[in-house]
Amino acid sequence: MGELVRVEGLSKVHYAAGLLKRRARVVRAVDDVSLAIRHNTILGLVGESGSGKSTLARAMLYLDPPTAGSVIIDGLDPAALSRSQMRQFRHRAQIVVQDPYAALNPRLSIAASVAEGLRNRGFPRRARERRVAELLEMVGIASRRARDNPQQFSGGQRQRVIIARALAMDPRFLILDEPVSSLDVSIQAQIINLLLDLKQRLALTYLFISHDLNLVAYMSDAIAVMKDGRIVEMGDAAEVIAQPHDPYTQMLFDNAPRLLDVRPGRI
Amino acid sequence: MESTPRGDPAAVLRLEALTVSFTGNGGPIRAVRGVDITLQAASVHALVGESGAGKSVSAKAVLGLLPRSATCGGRILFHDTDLLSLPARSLRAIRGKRIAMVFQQPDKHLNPTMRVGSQVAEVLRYHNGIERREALLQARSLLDMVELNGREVLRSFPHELSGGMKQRVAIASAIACRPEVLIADEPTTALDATIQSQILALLDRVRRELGTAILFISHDLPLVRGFADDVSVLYAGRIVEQATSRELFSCAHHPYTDRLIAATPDPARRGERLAAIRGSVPDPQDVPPGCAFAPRCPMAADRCRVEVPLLRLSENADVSQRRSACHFAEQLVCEGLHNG
Amino acid sequence: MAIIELVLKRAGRLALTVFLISTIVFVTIRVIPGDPARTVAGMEASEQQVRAVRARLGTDQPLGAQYRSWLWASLRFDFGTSFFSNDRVIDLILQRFPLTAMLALLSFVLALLLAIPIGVLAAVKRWTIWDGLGLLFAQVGMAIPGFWLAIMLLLLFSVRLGWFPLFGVGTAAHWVLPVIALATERAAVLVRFVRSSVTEELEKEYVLAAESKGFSMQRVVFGHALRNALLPVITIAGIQFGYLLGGAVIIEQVFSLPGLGRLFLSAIHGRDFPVIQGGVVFVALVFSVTNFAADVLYAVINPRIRVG
Repeated sequence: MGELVRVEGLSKVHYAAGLLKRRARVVRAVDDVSLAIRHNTILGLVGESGSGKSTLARAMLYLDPPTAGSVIIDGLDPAALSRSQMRQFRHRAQIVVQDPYAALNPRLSIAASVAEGLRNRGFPRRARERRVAELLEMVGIASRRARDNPQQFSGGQRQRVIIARALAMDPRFLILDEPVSSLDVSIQAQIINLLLDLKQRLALTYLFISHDLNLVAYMSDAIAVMKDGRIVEMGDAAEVIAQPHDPYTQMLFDNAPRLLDVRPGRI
Repeated sequence: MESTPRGDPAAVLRLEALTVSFTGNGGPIRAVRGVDITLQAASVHALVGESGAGKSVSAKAVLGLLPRSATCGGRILFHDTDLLSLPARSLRAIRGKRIAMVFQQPDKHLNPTMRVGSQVAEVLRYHNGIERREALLQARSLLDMVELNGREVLRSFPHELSGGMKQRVAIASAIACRPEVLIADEPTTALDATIQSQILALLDRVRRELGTAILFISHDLPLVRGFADDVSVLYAGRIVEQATSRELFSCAHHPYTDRLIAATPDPARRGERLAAIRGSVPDPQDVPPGCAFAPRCPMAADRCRVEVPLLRLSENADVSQRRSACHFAEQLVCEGLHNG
Repeated sequence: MAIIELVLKRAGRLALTVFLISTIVFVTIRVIPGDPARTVAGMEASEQQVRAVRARLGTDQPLGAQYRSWLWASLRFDFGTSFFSNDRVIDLILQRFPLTAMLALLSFVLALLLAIPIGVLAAVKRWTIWDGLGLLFAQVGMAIPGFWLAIMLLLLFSVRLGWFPLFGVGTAAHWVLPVIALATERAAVLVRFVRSSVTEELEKEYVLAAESKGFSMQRVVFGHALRNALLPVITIAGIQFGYLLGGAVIIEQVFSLPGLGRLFLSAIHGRDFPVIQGGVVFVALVFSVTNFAADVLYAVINPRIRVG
């Protein structure tokens, strides 16, 4: 399968200017990052806080355009797009973020939240309602709860709604930025299973960002390790786990506590 | 209970039938519903479970740090003193001196406008009556002990330090009086993976060198596996399983523990489906009768929905003292134990 | 480094404020319908007399030139001379200022001495009778106008009981009633602020951590929470000091104290424009300087600003 996403030489530089300092301090949040993600696979991106994972994600989607480098997602180069083509790009590449509590408008019913994108895409009312019901069903939310507000849902259920909202744009590529890190293990597993199912069913491609090495190692096809804005190691997941080349990656995996040979029972 | 010998010299802290409830709008919220734990000197006992299981509440109950709306029942024996019936003044003399605590978020649990050295020295001055200059000197060596540069860090403010450094400072001030018990409430959850293992190594050193018993609260099974000697798995305010770490992770004797392990992602299980536990943790104001896990349990029978299973020694445990609170503990077939 | 930067920024803001105030004063005087010279000279004055006044005021000059010379003069605190006494305005102000400043300062100290303990007590003993009393004090203190309190105090303690002198200055006893009258309202405002600030602080995690170390309630409150709780209070207190200057003007009137208030009131009555202009700019300057001082003090005390 071919590549769906290609990023080349992407950098994101912040300038921290001071009144008395003659030269502004340059912060290289993302420094010359190149990566590719094959169609219908998952690239896991790990790194410690402040390593630039989320900045990279936002720069890739041109939510905060990069200061250098190029991005091509599903054949579209956002730097060269007209306004209407840009809308197309935004539909194809969606992002799901960590905090399921902050990401939904508390005054809108979940159906309205999911429908918002459909309205922007010009769905007539009838079709919109049908599609919202489909989407909610797809992520495992009972349609009788469609009129409820987010406060009436648990963290895991909210994350399902957020995923449905992203899917409403018929994306080809999803960036999942710590999508389960605020959830309990048992709920986390539900969401991870859902994401893996959706990937198969809708032929999606993911960039999966997490600080949880076990999780990334478990679900990714390829792994990229980020440190100080750079990618220090990237490759096939099994290889990176088994034989990391970079000393930092090695330390990261050596230090990750694991269940190792613990097997769940058969019930 | 019969297997926890009274006057066990190594037992520093014993929770006996601890209950904690809060007054809530829709009636009392029973956060902890009968918890028995024995903490041995120089060992790590982990309380694991998901949110709302009652881990933190139990820990805070030990130090009397719960808000006024909380009512505690049962006993918390520190050696032979029941902390729950102790007057506030006597409890304060134990707090921070003989039983200390480390919290989850180091950047929130240090005083932002107080120099790090003073924060560590304060404990020594307060509990041991050491005068300022000497206390600062001791604070410096304590900071050295937690692998910080005491001389440099002494005069720093918390915001000048990284998260890992702040947690070291918190640990330094917690161990300043060489406590017999250290309660660590998710002490590494807010930290990066590499820092996390450093902090655990430090806590382990404290345990070995000072003989401190550690009550370790965590939701992270892989972490607990490598760090704890004993584990109590909590669900909805009760212990569902209690065993040594080795026993627990070689074979779960409670379906909740088992499913929790099955739900934990691991590189070795690539390509397998995670066993998600259906539904979610019960609302503490509305815990189902019988076994609280029954509505989510794949093994649940009618009996489970009416009769609360007691935490008992399981019959198929050979020599160990492991306990499970499941009517059907014996029916769990362990693959791990035999495949090992 | 950061602190110098902050001081420069705040000083710049201060300069801008004072500049704007003096501009507004200049414009206002010229926009008000009628000729100030005519007002000063009186309705019956001859055209010649008016022209003489105009020359003295400088209003016969072109506007641009007037503005330039006004700015230049106010930069040197040269606000001209009073129409009535022929004293330099700045001298008049500086003569009266110490009394007003003293009144404001003493009231400020008293307000803080009242507000901090009451606010802390209310916060620590929240939802008890102490909290209720603290809030009652705040409520009543804010509802009572300062001049009314001043009159009541006078009637009770000076007229009826004869404990304190009625008017004027001289002994320490002369200060007691004016200071109480002036401080009460400010204290009431600050009580609410201290209470909410301390309450907020007491709910923070580091306070729980301090409790986990076995510290006594006093130690936790005074050694840990208060220090952080008072940081935001500094900023508010700076603004309150400005209010005190304004309030002093009225209180001085009630107690017949020869301060700035008296000077300004009589200047307004007598349409003594140079004194009014100079007074407004001067008060604006004092107000700005106290706020500036509060901002800098805040930055110095807060380690997060000091270094970061």
